[in-house]
Amino acid sequence: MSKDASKSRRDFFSWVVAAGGSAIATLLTVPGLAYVLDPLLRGAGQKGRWIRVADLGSVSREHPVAVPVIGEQVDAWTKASAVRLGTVWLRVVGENQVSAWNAECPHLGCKVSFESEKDCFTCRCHDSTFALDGAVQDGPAPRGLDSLETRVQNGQIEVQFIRFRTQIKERVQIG
Amino acid sequence: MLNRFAEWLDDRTGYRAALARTLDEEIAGGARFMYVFGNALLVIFLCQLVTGLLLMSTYTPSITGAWSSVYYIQHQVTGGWFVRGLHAHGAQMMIIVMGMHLLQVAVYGAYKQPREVNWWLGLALLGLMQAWALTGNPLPWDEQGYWASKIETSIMGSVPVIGTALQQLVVGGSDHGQITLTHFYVMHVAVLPLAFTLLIGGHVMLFRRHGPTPPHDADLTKRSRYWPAQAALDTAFAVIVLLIIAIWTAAVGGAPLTAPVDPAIDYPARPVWYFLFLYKLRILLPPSLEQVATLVLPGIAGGFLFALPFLDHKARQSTRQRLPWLVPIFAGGLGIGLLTWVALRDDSKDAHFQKASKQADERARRSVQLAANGIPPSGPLDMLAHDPWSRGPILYAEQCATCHVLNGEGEYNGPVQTGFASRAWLDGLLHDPDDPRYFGRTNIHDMKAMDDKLSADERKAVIEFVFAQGAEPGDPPHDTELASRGEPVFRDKCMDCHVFKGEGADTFDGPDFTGYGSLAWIAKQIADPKAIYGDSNEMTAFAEDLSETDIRLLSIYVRQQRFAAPETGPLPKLPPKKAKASQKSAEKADRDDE
Repeated sequence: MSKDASKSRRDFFSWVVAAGGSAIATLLTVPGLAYVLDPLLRGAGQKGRWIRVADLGSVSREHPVAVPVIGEQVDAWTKASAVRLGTVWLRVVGENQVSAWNAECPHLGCKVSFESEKDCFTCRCHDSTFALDGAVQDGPAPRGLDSLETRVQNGQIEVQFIRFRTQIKERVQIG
Repeated sequence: MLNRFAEWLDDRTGYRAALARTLDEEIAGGARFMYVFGNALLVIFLCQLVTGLLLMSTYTPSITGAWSSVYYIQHQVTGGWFVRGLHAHGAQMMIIVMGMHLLQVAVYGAYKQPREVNWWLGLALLGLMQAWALTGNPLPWDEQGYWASKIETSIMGSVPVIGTALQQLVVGGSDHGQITLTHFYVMHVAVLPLAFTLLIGGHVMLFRRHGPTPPHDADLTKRSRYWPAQAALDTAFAVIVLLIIAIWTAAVGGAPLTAPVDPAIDYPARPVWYFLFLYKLRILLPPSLEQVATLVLPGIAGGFLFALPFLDHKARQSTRQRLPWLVPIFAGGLGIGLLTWVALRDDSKDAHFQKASKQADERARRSVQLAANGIPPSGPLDMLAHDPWSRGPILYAEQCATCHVLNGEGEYNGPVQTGFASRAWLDGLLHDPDDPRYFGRTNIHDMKAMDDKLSADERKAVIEFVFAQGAEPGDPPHDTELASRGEPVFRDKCMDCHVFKGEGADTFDGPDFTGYGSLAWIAKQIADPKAIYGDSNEMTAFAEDLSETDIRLLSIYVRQQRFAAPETGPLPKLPPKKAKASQKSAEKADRDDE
C-alpha cells in the first residue's frame, strides 16, 4: 500500500470516529438539555388569584394580624385543593378597608414577623425592619413589604395573592 | 494558541501519553468487525448513565408518587418521553448486544486460558445486567412493572433453603409495598451501577492485559493498532446501535406506561420479553417440573458457561473441532429464540389475553387522560377511585355482572344494561317485557306487551317522555315537545300499574317512573331496589355493601347507557332460570358464609 493511500485511509477512519462520536453526543445532548432546561421552558408558576383569608371581624385596626393563605396548588404532577401557600399580614385601615402585605421579606424571602414593642415588622433573618405602612426602615431589604390588593365581600376579606421576586428594588410579579 | 495550551496541559497532566497508551493498543491479526461488541456495550452503558441521571432528577420512589412522576416525565417534561425511551430501549439493547458479545467470544474461543477470569467477569456482568433490568422495570409502579416484579420475587422465593429469606430481604417484608420500591430504586440507581462500573473496570483491564483473541486461522503476522481502524469500526457500530435505540424510541413514542397498579384488578401479567422464554418453558412443562424452568435450567446454563474454559481448553483448535462446545450454546440461543417466538405467537392468538390487554390499555389511556388535570396528593389510585369511567366498570364487574349483562359481559338473570333507558331499549321493553333481555328471567311478569295498545305516535311520545325522565344537565337535548305529548299517554296507558310523582297505581304493581333513568333513580335502584320494585324485587340492596361515592360512580357509569345502542341479535344459550326461593336462599347462604 502506498504511503498516500495509507494516509487517506487513516484520515477516513479518524473522520468516522469524529463524526460518529459527534452524532452520539448530539443524540444525548439535545434531549438531555431540553430535559434539564424544562423548568425554564415551562415558564413561571401560577398567576395571582383572589383568595378568601379571614373574617373582617377578626382583624384589628390597632395592630397587624398574620393569617395563612390557603388555596389550590399545582406542584409538578400534583394538584391539591387546600394547601398553605403563604402568609399575609392584614390590618384594617378604614371602613371596609383592609391593607395586606405578603409576609415574604423582599430581601431573601424569609417570613416577616411583627414586633409589638417597636410597632414595626421585622425580618429576623437579616434584621430588616418595616414601618406599619410596610415601608422599609432599616436593614438590607431593597424595598418595602409587598402590599396586596384586597376586597371585602360579605364580611370576608379576600386577597389577590401574588408573590414577587426578591432582592430587587422593583416589584416584579412571579407568575 | 491552542497548541500552546495543549503543550501546557500535557506538561502538567501527561495526557498525550495516556491517550496514546489507550489508543495504541496492539491488535494481533488486525482490526475486525467481530471485535466491536464490547465497546458498543460501553457506549450504551454511558448512555444509560446519562439518561438515568436525567430521569433521577424527576422520578420519585414512592408508591403514591412513582407512577405520577413517570407520567410527568413521559407526558409533561420537555424531551422527557425521548430520554425515558432511550433509557428503556437502551437497557434492552444492552441485553441484545451482550448476547452478541457472548456468542462472538464463544465462537472465537476467547474464554480459553489465560482469559478465564475475564470470561467470568463477563458472565457476572450479564447477571448484573439482568438484575439491573429487573429492578428498573417496576420503578414506575405501574401494572406491568408491579406484576412482573411480583412474579420474579416469588420465583426468587422458590430457591431451596435460602429462598424465603432472600425474598423477604429483597421485598423488604412479606408483601410488595413502599420498602420494596425503595429497595428496587436503591439497587437500580446506586448498588448495581457501582457494581457494574467496578466489574467493567476489571473486564476492560483484563482485556487490555491479554488483548483480543483472533480466530484460530488468523494471519498473526498482520498487526495493527486500535487507532484508527478498530476505533472507526467500533464507532460505526455504536452509532448504528444507538440509531436503532433512537428510532425504536421515536416509533413507540418513548416507553410504555401501563395504568397505576391496583393489586385487586386483573392484569394479563407477562415477564419482559427477554424472559418470555422461561415463562413459556414453565407453561410447557408439567406443573410439578416448574422449578426446572425457573431454577434448574438457568442454573445448568450458568454452570455450563462458567465451566466452559475448563471443558474446552485445548489451545488453537479449529472451530470445527470445538463444535461439541459451541453446539450447546447455539442450541440454547436457538431454543430461547424459538420459545420467545412461540410465547409471542400464542399470546397474539389468545383471545382472553388480547381482551385483558385491551382493557389494560384502556385503563392506561384513561389514567393518563385524568392525570393531565393534576393528580391528588393521595396518588393516582385515589384519582381513579373517583372517576366513574375507571371505577364504574370495576364495580359493575364485581357487583352487577352476576345478574346483568353489559356490553356482552355478565349473566342474563335480570334486565340487560347495554343501552339501558335509551329510546331503543324502552321500545324493546314495550314490545316484549318478558323477553329474556328484559324481565323474562325475573319474577316480574305482570306487564303486557304494549304493541297493540299504543299507536305509533303515542308510542314515540311515551318513549320520549320516559327517556326525558332520566335527563341530567349537560345531556344532549331531547325532544321536549314530543315528551310533553307523551305525558298524558303515559298517565292514560301506564299508570294503572305504574306510579309517577306520587300518583298512579293504588296498590304497588310496577316501578315508580318518577325520574326514571336519572342519576338519583339509578342510585336508589342500586341502594334500595325494593323502594322502586316493592315486593316483586329480587335484586340485592347495595346500600350497605357500597359506599355512597361508589353508588354515585356506578350510577354515572350505568346512566351513560341511555346514549348507547341496546343489545340485539341472537341470545346465547341460557342456563335454566333459577327459582326465586332458591336464589334468595342461596344469596342468604352466601351472606351467612361471610
